[in-house]
Amino acid sequence: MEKINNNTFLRKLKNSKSGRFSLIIIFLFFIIAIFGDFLSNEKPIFCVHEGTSYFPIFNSYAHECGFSNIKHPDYTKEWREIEFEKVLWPILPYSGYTTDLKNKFKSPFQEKIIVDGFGKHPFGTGALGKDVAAGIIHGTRIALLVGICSMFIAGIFGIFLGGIAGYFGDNKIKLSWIHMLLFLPFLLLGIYWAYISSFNIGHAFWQLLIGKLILFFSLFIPLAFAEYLCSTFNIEKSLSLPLDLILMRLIEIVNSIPGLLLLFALLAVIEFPSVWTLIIIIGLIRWTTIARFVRAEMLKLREIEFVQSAKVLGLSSLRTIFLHALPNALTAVTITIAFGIASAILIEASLSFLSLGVNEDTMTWGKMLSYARQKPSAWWLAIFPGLAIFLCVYSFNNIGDILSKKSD
Amino acid sequence: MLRYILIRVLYFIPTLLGISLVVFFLSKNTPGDPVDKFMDEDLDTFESFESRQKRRAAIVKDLKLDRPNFYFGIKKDRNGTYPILPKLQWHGLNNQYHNWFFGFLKGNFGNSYFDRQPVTDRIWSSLKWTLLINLVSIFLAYAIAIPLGVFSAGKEGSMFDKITGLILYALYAVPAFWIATLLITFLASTDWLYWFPAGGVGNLDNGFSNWQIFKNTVWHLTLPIFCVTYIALTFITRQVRASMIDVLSQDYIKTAYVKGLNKNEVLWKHGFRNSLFPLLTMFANILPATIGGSVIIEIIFSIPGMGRLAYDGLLQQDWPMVFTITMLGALLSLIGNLIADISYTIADPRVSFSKQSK
Repeated sequence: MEKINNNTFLRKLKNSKSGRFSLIIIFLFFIIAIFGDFLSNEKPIFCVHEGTSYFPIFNSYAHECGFSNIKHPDYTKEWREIEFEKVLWPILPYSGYTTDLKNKFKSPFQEKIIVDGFGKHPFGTGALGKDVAAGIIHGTRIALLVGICSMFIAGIFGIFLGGIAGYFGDNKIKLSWIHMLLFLPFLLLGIYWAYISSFNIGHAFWQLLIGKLILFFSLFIPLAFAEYLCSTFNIEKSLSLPLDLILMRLIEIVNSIPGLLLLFALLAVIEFPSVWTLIIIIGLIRWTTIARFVRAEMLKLREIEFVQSAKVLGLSSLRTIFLHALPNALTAVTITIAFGIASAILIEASLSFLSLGVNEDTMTWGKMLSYARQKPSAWWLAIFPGLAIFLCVYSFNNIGDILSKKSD
Repeated sequence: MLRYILIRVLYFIPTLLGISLVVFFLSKNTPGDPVDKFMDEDLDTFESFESRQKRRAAIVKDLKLDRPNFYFGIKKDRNGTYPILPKLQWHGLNNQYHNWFFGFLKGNFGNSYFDRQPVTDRIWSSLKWTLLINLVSIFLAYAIAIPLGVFSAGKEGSMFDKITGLILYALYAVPAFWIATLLITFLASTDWLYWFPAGGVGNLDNGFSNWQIFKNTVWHLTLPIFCVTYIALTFITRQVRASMIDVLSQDYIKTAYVKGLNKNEVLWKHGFRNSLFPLLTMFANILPATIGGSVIIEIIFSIPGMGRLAYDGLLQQDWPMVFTITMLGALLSLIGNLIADISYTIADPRVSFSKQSK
């Protein structure tokens, strides 16, 4: 079996032209996402005003982390209206939400009203004169954040469930009737104690923690007891737990509801949507693809000698699954995650295009595209954000595709 | 085979029940009190607390919200806390879930929270538009994808194959709502070309002839159908090509060539016919996918289909609309998958259940 590590991945990508192109594009997007505040911001990077020097961008970072107060030379004015002795502006002196009321809906080639050097909008402006290029830069961060974090959540669920279901299948976990007799009632009781009947123990955090502990023990103790009874009285384990069947039904339930309709139903429940609720929702929907892939890989892997020999050596099942078998399913996982990031970015873009999901003042690619619907003549609003979505989605899809091709 | 089909149909029921439980659970957790939407608050006249409570109780009774949520529940103590050992209570069949689910199966979808009218008629008419757009689009997509896929499989590795592959691959990453926005910008606005309307389905009055109504509908639906077709096209072409390449590597294709048949005859008569079955059964799988994809197209082009209705419902906090359409979409795609699996078994009896579920 081919030994798989990051080097083979990178080599595979570097060997094809489109793979190199995709890697470069994704690298650029990452740079833009990380250093976006220094590329486009309404605050200067560095300035000197009346003898005092300021680092406004770093200052706002420190303020967000709670280290320092906001320092502003003149609170009555916008940053760009202040006269500095020395100043270093970002390449684009606008944030995604900065308005420029003199230049509303200006195309890239149209003549703009420039005041004190401000007003050059290379990609044009949208409603209220918001700069398109700045919007794209700030949207990059949201797109990558949603894509990667939601796939992280989906990956945890998918790998865990798919790995376990694929390894144990329908009839590997054998239980006796004693297990069933003890386990099922205590499972229900545990959930009841943990979540419905409340024990009043002061702080809410402790209550939550104690609930979890009660659930854990009410599952663990009956199981251990049943195991003990089985081994002392030699009771035959004749029932099998159909883990695989259960997982496949669960996947079918999630997959049967058409994508956007399921998202609508989930968004209906959320009162205050933000980027993080969106990430959790996408993660909860997209784990099924990863689980299916990992399960299919696991079905193949569990028959291979080294997994069998791990079993013969007496390693525990969980150890065999997660330390011996799963690292060999890494290619499959990487491929689905690459495709998954692309689809998560698409979902985020289409939701914010419909002005659902993220809250109002977050600038995203989809939201910029929706401005084009308000003013159909503004072609630059339709083309540039769409191009950013296309490039990002294409690159991630392409990486997944190249990795899924068999190596020579 | 009969056994497989029976098992497959039996699997349909727990999945549907599971979906209905998930959707019901979500619908019970929506923010806001539905009763508030039915209380006509009149701020000008004074209303006593008692009369308000009475009106409220009447609405609760009317909406059947006074019924228990589920078939059984856990009883509380007299002082309103839950005891250490839970006491189960059987509520009988007259509960909210039962009424909602069997009402749904009977086609009674409840009243809208927004205009308080039954949502059934609007949902049926929206289903008509959604199915019309999706079926026409899938038909068109097949009509374009089959020749494209067959020819590029026949000339595997040629320039034609590479270029169509590259274009389709790039198109696969183009979001449909971007294409829709671009089409509206360039083909449906007065600033550029005004060839098509930007939205709607063009409801004409009775005074027009059938031909005029048909022409008008086609004119309105061209752009949305183009967008949905393009979603399905990239996928179907790849499948056709893969399925053809699979068939073309078989021995009987070589025999056909050795027999002296020309390339087109081999491709269409021997190759395509044998790759036809998976392609036809794929239809039932594509339908739910395109319904999911057409949601956003319907919203952009203001077509009163299921997607548009669900979106409006979401914005107006009209939960019965949102969740009924979610259930209906799930039901459609479940039926689609069922038909796909069964027709696949009939076409290829070698498929066993365990193989299928992989």
